[in-house]
Amino acid sequence: MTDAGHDETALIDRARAGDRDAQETLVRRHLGEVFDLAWRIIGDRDVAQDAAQEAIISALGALHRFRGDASFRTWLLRITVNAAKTQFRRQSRRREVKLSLALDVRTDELDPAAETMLRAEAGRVAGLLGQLPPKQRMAVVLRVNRGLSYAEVGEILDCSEGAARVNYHLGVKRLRELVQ
Amino acid sequence: MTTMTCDAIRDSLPEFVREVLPAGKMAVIESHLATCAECRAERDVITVLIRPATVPAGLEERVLRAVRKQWRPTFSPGRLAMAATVVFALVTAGVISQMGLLDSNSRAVEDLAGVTSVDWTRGDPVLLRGGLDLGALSEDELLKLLEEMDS
Repeated sequence: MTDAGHDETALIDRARAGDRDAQETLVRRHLGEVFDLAWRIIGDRDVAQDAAQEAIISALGALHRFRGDASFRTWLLRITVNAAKTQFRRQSRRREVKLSLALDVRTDELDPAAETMLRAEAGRVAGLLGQLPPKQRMAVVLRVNRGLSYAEVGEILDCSEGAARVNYHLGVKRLRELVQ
Repeated sequence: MTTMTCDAIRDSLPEFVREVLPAGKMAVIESHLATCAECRAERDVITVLIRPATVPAGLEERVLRAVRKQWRPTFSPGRLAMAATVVFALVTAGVISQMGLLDSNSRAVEDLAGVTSVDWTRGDPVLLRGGLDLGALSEDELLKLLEEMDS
């Protein structure tokens, strides 16, 4: 195991034992990733914030059940996917969820012209992401944005590695067609 | 140079865009992309998708507040009623226990001195409170007691 892995394992052990500093460190360390995933699945920043909070609270509450069979990150992302799906269904019943991915990607290191172009392109592609069937969208987001392997994507989406791969490729293929 | 099929190239594009592949594999994919428009189109889509989202200002503080709220025991009416019931039961048990003790003492005294009654309320006040002096407990100890009763 790497130093970072040891550090994470020790942190999780302390958080599980009720160490509040360790729990806050875990939150700070993983919140960005949790929010990013929820936002890309749901497509609405406000709803994604609710989902991210719900996922973090659920994960800390269930920490005593985390046995380390999967990585903590994969376990947390799985909880996030479930929280995002729940929030999405809840919001969909109330109103149409608006896709507001357009202006929210990080462009801080770019010059203004490149930033404008990238924001426009990111908005277009992200809007198209919302047109994919949920399983394809989640497979694309987990593979591209979270950098997970097909096996990990399958574990999170409750499907085989092969099904995760097919969903990913169908999703990206559809995105390419929509972009052209 | 090793060649790769389009399928293998596309499987590796997320890692290629992140620049986390070994140098040799990066070079193979770069070379392939120079001649394959289909794979280039896929690379372009992934390049745009992969940019991280900005985390909304205030989200971290909001989530940390929610986490800290989970740490504090809440005094809901239901929990207070349950706590009151348990405290009442403890006090009652203490009183009954004390009465039983004094009753046997009084019988002994009657036997010895022919006394007909004993005022049991003059017993040890700590015992009359069920042996648990709630007033002497700190707030932290009371919270701990509530948590134990909850569990």
